[in-house]
Amino acid sequence: MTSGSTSFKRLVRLVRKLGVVLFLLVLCTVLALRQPEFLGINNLKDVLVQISGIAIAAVGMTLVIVTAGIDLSVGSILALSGCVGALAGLRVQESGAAWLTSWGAQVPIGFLAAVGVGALCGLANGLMATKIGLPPFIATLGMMGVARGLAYRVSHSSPVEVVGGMRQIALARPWGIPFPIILMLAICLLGGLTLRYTRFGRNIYAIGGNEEAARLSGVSIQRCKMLVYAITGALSAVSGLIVAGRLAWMQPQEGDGFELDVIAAVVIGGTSLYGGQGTVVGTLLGALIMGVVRNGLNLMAVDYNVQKVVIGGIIIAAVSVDVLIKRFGRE
Amino acid sequence: MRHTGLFVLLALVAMGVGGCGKQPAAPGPQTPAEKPVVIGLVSPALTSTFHVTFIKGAQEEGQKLGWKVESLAPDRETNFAAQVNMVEALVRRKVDAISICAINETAIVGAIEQANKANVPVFVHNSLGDLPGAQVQAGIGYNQHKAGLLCGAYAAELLKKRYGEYKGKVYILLGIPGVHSLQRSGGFMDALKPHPKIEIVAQTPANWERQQAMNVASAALKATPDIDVFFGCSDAMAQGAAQGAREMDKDVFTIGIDGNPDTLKDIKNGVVTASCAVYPAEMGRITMRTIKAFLDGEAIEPKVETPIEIIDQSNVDTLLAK
Repeated sequence: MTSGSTSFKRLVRLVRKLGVVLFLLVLCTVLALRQPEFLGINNLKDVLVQISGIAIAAVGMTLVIVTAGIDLSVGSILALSGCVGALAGLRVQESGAAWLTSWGAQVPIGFLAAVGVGALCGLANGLMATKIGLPPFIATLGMMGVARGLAYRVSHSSPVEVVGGMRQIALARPWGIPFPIILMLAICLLGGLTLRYTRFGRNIYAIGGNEEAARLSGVSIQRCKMLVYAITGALSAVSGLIVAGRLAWMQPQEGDGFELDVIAAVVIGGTSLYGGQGTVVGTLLGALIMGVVRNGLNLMAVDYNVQKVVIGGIIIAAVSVDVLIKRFGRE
Repeated sequence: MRHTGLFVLLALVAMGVGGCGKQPAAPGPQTPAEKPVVIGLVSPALTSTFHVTFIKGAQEEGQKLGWKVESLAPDRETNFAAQVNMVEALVRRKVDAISICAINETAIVGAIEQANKANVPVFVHNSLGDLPGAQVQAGIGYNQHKAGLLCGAYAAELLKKRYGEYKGKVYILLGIPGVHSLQRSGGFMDALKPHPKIEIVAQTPANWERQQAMNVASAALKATPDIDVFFGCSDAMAQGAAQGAREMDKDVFTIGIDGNPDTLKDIKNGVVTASCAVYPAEMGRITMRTIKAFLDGEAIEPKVETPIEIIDQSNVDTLLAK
């Protein structure tokens, strides 16, 4: 009985992952027929760069959702850390301190400031979820407001200029490939390997599958959860830096609604909101699907609000499939 | 593979719903004579009637020329990233020309550089400024500084009528920080410079949004109850301020810039005092004519100035009749 149902479960998971790939392939085919420009190499590079921010934060969100948690604050953390990073870089550059500016210290300082702030916010989320025991939904909902408000304060409600050196994270093209694409693939690879092959990864699955059982097996629930939210915060900061680099100005409104895109990528990719299962590969595919749909609709000059309807529909459909599979698996 | 089938169905539905009403691209190569001219217009958002009217005017003119005019805009004016993505998509489609009203000039430069590289001509509408670092064929718009100047002069006269001399308190509502806001408020303040007794209480951004302007105006009136005039760098903000003042039972003058149809109605009903009409439909038509001249190989002016006029209760009916 047990071996039969395990291999069946594995088959279901395989089908689900294949389903997402097939969905992406069909999407691309339909799109290529409608708008041949979609297949242009520059357009494809555009799509990958456009989803890079979402995909990077979504790696962290995958870990969070697999633990049966959620993080609604990623958009606000993106804005806060992006603004702090941009300001740090700007202030150092304007300070005229030659010992720093002569070798371009403002760039690593800006990057570190951003990622540091992001990690701290994430850690705060983790602390609220573990030490206080707040449901992650509430904890991160609160952080969403706090971080956003702080972003406005810190930037005095106006866009912050991003120093040229810091823009390289978005503009550099090593071997002709835009750097955000390389960064995205590297982070996905790291995240995927961690989830699959490290004890930390196994603990994450255990916590999401059955937290009580995991606790009894000696998994340090609190430490894992705190780490997972801190990672997500830090990755949101990286996304913020890419956005800042791409747009040359970081504004406190940035990332409004980002959390929905990130969660959508994770969910479309097959990760269950109930926790215990999910893959980074799936998330990357989910992000690609959203990027392709958006790009396709842009190429067809479809009204942006109609785009929102389409993406919303895909999210509903993807979660419905997940729910149906769960039900199908139980019978 | 039941679930795969479901996904395939979803894909078709997604593309179908998304592409509803659009003509599919004709397959196979076409000779230049057959291929219709496609122009891409990118607005900051369609939340202001100004941009909606601009598009309408441009599309009317485009229809007369037998062109296809595609309009793209994000959901809100603070969505820089979406605007950049849209410009990139138009560049990949190799449209015949793009006209952009940038939310933020520096943020859009990267996308325009890509258009330049792909040899897609770029025009800028609703701005006569330069986009540093990018090649733009022409800027079509009204002189925003002059618009601010006209509003400022009008405000000064309102205060003279109220107090018998050029004195009083004025509050400025700015848009999203950028060249549009700077020029309009700059013009307004320049008009008030010769009148030292007119005090500018403060300038606060309300990001072109009605609701924000309402909140800012209410807070301002609470702090300084005797503000006489609210100047909004856009109609939406002037309307918001008017609403905010009304809720506090304060009698203030409100002046905006745009001359949108809903604002004109408000002016007729005495809700808003005046607005500097900028004739967006006409700007749309002039933009298309400028693009046509360029595509036909004619010489064009790098800056094309479009007409503006102050509208208040005395002349609002003529405009409403149009």
